[in-house]
Amino acid sequence: MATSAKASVVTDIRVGVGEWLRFPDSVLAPNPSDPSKLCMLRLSHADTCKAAIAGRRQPAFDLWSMVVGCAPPVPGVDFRNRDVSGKLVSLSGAHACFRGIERPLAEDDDGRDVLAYVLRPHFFYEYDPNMVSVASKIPVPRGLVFVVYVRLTESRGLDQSGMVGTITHWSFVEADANDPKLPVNHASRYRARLW
Amino acid sequence: MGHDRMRASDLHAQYVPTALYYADADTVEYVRRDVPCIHRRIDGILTLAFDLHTRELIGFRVKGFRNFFINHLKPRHKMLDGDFIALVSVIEEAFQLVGDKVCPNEESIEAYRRARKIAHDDRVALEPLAA
Repeated sequence: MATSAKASVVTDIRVGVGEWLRFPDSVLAPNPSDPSKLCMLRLSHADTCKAAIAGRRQPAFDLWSMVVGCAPPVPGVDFRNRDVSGKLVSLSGAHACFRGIERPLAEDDDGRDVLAYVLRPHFFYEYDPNMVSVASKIPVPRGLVFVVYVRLTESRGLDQSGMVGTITHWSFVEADANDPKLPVNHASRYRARLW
Repeated sequence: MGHDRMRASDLHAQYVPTALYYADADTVEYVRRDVPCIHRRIDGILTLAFDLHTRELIGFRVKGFRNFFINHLKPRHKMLDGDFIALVSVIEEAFQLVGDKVCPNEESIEAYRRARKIAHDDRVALEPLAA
């Protein structure tokens, strides 16, 4: 037992420096017009890297564990969390999608070309440094959903690389008391529900 | 970017609370701690950030910032390129803008008051937007 544990630690240490900031360029998500099909979304890295430069790592850990759907690649992560067996979700597991965020986003005056994908993750990774690793897998408290925002490439259609849009930001929000799978005030905070 | 990349990669450097403009999200965010947050939408401009574990208010987001900066903040405060932007002024201006459109309710007034207090107490300033 001691030997295998030690081997596991050594394996984890081989995670390259800065690996946790090398995000995939794209991720799969349910298609906004037909959730039974998947589409590709570009993953914007700039804001997450900017936060990391300022020493804020949690947005990157949220991204890995609830959008990409895997543990952040940091040393010791597997060993530290070896006894926490809960599954992670990824964006492809979104169960609801809204369009229009009712506020400006850059050139989009009322955010009508922004999608909001809703997920209900049970576990995620928190930045919580200790002697073994900086990433701790913890349960998501009840009463929360996770929302991922996507700016559509065009009002409709794909860009040249086949991407439907770009993931720009994400966050936990409180769930609606009457429908705990959806964000609170979803009727007023989004323009329309797609599915 | 090399030096920045190295700094970003450091998993153990202390987080120093800083207001950041996130261009892709078009949002300014300030949080006191690098912890998981719950975001509570107040209106189209202001969102409050709470510590996911303690539910303590630890920061805020000002959304749609580029448009807000160009059309409201910059002309009103006669800002020059390269000026740092005091977030107290941002919160006050945002509250006035919201108040011009709809009559803010108690919850909204309290949210702006709390966000302004954090900006004031922590002397939060945003780096020049062009940087």
